[in-house]
Amino acid sequence: MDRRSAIKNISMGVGYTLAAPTLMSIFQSCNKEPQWVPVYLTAEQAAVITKLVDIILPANGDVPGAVAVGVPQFIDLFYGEVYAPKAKGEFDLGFQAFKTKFLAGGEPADISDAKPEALEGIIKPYFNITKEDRIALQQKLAEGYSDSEEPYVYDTDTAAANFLIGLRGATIWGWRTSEQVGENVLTYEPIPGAWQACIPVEEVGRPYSL
Amino acid sequence: MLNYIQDQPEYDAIVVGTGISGGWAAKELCEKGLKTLVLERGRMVKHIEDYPTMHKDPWDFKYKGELSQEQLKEYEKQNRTGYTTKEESRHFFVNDKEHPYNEIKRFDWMRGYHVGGRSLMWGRQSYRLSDIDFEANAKEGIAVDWPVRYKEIEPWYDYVEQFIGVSGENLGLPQLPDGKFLPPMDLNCVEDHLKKSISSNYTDRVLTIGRTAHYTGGEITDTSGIRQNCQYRNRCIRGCPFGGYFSSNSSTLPAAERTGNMTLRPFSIVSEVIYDEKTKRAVGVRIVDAETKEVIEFKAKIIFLCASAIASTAILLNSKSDRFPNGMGNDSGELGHNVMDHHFKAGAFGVHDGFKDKYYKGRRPNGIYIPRFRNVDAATKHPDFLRGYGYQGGGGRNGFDDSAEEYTYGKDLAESVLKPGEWSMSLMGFGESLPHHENRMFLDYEKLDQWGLPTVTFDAEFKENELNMRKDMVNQAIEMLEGAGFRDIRAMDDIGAPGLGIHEMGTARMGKDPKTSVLNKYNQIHAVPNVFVTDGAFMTSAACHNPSLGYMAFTARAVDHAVKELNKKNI
Repeated sequence: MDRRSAIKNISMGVGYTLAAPTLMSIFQSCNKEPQWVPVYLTAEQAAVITKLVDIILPANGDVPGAVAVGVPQFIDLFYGEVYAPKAKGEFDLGFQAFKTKFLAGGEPADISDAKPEALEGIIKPYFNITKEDRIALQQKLAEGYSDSEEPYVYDTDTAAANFLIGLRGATIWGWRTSEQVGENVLTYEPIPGAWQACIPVEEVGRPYSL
Repeated sequence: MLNYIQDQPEYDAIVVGTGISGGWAAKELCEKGLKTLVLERGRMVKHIEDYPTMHKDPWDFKYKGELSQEQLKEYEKQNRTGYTTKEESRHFFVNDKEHPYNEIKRFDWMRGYHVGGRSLMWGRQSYRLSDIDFEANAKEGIAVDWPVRYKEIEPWYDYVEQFIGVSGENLGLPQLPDGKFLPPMDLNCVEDHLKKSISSNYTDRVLTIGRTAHYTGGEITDTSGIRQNCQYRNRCIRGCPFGGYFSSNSSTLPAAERTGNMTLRPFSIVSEVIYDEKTKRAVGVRIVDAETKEVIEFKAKIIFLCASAIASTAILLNSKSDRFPNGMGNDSGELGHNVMDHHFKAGAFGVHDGFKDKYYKGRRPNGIYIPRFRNVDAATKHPDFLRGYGYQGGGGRNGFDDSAEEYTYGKDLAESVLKPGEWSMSLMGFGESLPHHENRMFLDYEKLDQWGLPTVTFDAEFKENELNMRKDMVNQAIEMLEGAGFRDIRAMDDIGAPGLGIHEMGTARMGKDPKTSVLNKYNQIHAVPNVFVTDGAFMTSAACHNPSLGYMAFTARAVDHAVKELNKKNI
C-alpha cells in the first residue's frame, strides 16, 4: 500500500477516530519501514536517513539520540519546506551518490533494507578525516557555491560527502533545537537575569541550548 | 477623494514617524506642552502585548525559527540581511511584495512599518560623533561642511543618554567622546585576552565593551519604571518584555503619552507636506489612510519629519508646489542625493585554544568595540583612504566541543555535543562611506504603490575609498587576532550593497549654505523654517559608527529650537 497517499487522504478530512485505527493498521502492515511517514522524502530516503542519523548521533546513556527527538521528521520537513531549490536538489543528488557507493559495495539492491552496519561501512571514510582532507573537501564543495537555483553536480564521491556532512550538520542542529534536548539535556536558561563574563566551566556543565 | 474632517483640531505639531527620531520628537514636543499629532504609516505595536515571539524557544517555532521557501517569497529583499526575516522578528520587517522599491543598483532597504519603527529592532550600539567627524568634510574638501561642532551637540548627547540609559566605558578618546554611562557589561575571558594583547602590541588602538542602550542599573531620568534591568536573553529584536533596551515603544512614546498631549494615529501614510505660498510656511500634511485609502489633511504649526532618511526625503520630493517644483526644500538640488550607509562585513574570525576551563553565564546582547584608529591625527594618517572604521564583534564558546573540525560521528559525537565548544572570536569592521552627489534616490511616478504613491528608486554604490578601506579592515583584524594567538584565522569580506548596514543617511543634508544643503544646523529646511527633518537624512557625513544616538540628540535639540522659535513667533 502506498502509505504516503494513504496519509494524505486521511489528513484531507477523515476524522481522528477513523484515522487512528487506520494508521495503526498501516504501521502494522509494513513494519520494515520506519515508524513514521515522510511527507516529502521518498520512503527509501526516509528509511535510509532514519538509520543514518541514528548512526551519526546515537543515544548516549539516558541522553536521547537523534531518532528519539524526531530528527528524521525534522529533516523531512526542512527538505520539503525550508531548503532552497539548490540545496534540495543537491540533497537528492547526494543521496543518489550515496546509494551508488552503497550498491557498488555489493550490498542488497534495496537500500531501504540495509543493515546499519552496512551503512556505517559506507559512511566511515567520510568522517573523522584529517584537517588537510577537510580543507580539500571544502574547496571542492566551494566550486558549487552560487546564487543559482540549480543544484551543482559534483562527482560521486564529493556528492556523497556533501550529503553526509550536510546530514551530520542537520542532525546536530535538529537535535539541539528539539524541545527535549533544549530543555532537559543541555543547560537551559531562557531568562539568565545576569551576565557573568568569566566563570569556571564546571559551574555551567553542559553547553547552553539557547 | 479629499476628506476634510469637520472640527478637526489644529495641532501645534505633527511628527511623521515613530522610530528613534519620531519617538524623541513626540516626547520632547509633548513635554513642552505642544498638542502633537504623531503619524505612523504602519500598525500599532504596544509595548509587551505586541511582542508575540518574546518568550519563544527554537522548538516553539515550526521551522525552529527559520522560514519556509513559501514564506521567504514575501521577504525577497528584506532577507538579504540573512537574519531579520527569521520567524522571531519577520513581523517587524516589511513584506516586500506589499512595499516595493526599485534598484538601478542594488540597495538593501530594510525597514519596519509599525509604531516604534526600527527602534524596536535596532542594534542598540550608541556612539557619539566627534569633532574629527564634524570637521572632516571641511578639512578634506568633500561635500559640504557640517554646520555643527561637537561642543554644541554635547549637552544634547548627555540629555538623551541620561534618559535612554547607555551602558559603556569612558575612554577619553578624541575620536569617540565620552558619555554619561551606566555600568559597562564585562568582557568575557577571550575578549579580555584580546584586549590585553592589543594594548601590549599597539599604541594606536584599544578594545572596549560596546556602548549599548541597555539599562544595566544606576540612574536614568526616565523614572516611569517601564525600563528594567537587561535580563541577558539576547532576544532584543523581538521586543523586550523587561524594557531592557531603549525603544520608542518602551520609552519615548510612553513619555509622550503621559503628558496627555499626544494623539497617535497608526495606518497614516504621509504623502506630502502642504505648502502655503502666502505665508511661506508648511501648513500641514496630507495622508493616505493605509486601511481605507482615504486622503486626509492635518494641520499644524510645525512639522517634524522623522520617517527615516529615505522616507522623509521621499515625502519632501513628493511635496511639490509652484515654489518648490522639484520637491519641498530642494532649492539646492541635493534632496535625495548623497545617500550613505556604513560598509561592513570586512574583518576576520579566529579560534583560541586557551581558557578551556572558563565559560560564562547569560547571553550578553552586546559585543566588543575597537574605536577608529585610522586618520584620527597626523600620526595615524593612512595612505590609501580617508576617514576610518571601528570593529565590532565578540568572543564566545559557541556550539559544542567542536568535533566539527574532524567530522566525528557516533559515540564520539554523542559525547562531544555535551561539552562546551572552543572559544572563537570575530572582528568585523564598520567603515565610513563618503557622501557622493551621484549616489542618490528619487521617485518613480510610473510605478505606484497600492496607495497610488510613487515608489523609491535607488542608484548608489560604494566607491574606491570604501573598497580601499576594506583591505585594511581585513588585514588589521587578521593581525590583531594573530598577535593574540588565535589560530585558523579566516578573513571575511562581503561588501553586499549600500543599505545592508541599515544606516541609510544623507539625503537631506544639513549645511551652512542653502545653495548646497537642504537643512540648517537646527534641522530646519532652509526655505521652510517650520519643517524639521531629524532622521538620518540630515547627516552631512556618515562617521563610522551606529548613528541612532546622534538622531536622538539632534532631534531633542531641534525640538528645543523649534519651540523657542515658535514662542518668538519666528515660525
